[in-house]
Amino acid sequence: MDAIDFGKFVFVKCTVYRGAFSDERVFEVPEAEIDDQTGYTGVAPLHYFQKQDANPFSASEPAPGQNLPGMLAARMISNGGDKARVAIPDGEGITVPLALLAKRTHAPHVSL
Amino acid sequence: MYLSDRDLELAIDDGRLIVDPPTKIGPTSIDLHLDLVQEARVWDTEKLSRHNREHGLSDLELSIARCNYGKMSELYLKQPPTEQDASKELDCKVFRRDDAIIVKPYGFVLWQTKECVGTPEESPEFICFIDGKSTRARTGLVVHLTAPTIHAGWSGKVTLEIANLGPLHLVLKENDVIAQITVAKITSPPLESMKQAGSVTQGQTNVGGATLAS
Repeated sequence: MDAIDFGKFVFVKCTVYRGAFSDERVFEVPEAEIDDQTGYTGVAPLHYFQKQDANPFSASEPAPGQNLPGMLAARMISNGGDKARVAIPDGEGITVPLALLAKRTHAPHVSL
Repeated sequence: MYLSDRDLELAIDDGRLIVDPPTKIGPTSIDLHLDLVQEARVWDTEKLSRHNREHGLSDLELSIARCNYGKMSELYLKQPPTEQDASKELDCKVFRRDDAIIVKPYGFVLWQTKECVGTPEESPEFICFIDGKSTRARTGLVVHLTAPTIHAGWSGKVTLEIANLGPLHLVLKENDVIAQITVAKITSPPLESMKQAGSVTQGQTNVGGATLAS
């Protein structure tokens, strides 16, 4: 199976939680594989996220204790055809199904 | 090679270095300020104790190998108590008084910088290092604990791990100049790290202890 060319910059579909700081969100990717475990939860600055409709999260989203579907900015490391390995903003590398990826045409954090 | 003031300015001007909002540039460093007072956070040890007791674990034990900071931060970080509430707690070392956070000896608080700092994702040229301010350090103030590096290609507000190792009660306020970054040029844009390539942590085993927020 030929790998879909997503390019270097991608989004990973994830679940977004409020997190501890107003400028930071917690993300969860249940399908992610890392080391010998499945499922990954991490933290990243707010500007690495967007909602699935491509709009940014507002300062009040998600509400405390709630979560929303979202997209996390990531960088492609390798694309194996059905799964890809991507680098995420907290410095980790995770393997995810291609179905979780979307192309990213802009770097969201060059300048705020 | 560390950047001097003129190179810092040039790098900011052409977008190779992100410092937003702009702040004072010193001879070889850039000052960073504390964010809003309501952004200060402390660990909710009472809630963590409760969780551990419910799971048959020792009160405040934490397995570093198994804890997940993302889940932990969501569940166990909170704003510091007010001075009035703190007076009811046994041995409370961090509390809020009006627009200030008071950090008693051995108190620990997480607080972000007002500035978003770092380097662009595409072809980063620098890494940054967080450091304290020398005169403030003499009071016993520590602004980062063992994690001073902002890696190439990352940008954001920096979370400071603030501790008071001195004998005084330190008063911290929004906009206080509390830290600085120095910026070093890297020899070339980084390839994917060993960690991201999946080789470093493979084969590691968990060592037991509390599993938080599971």
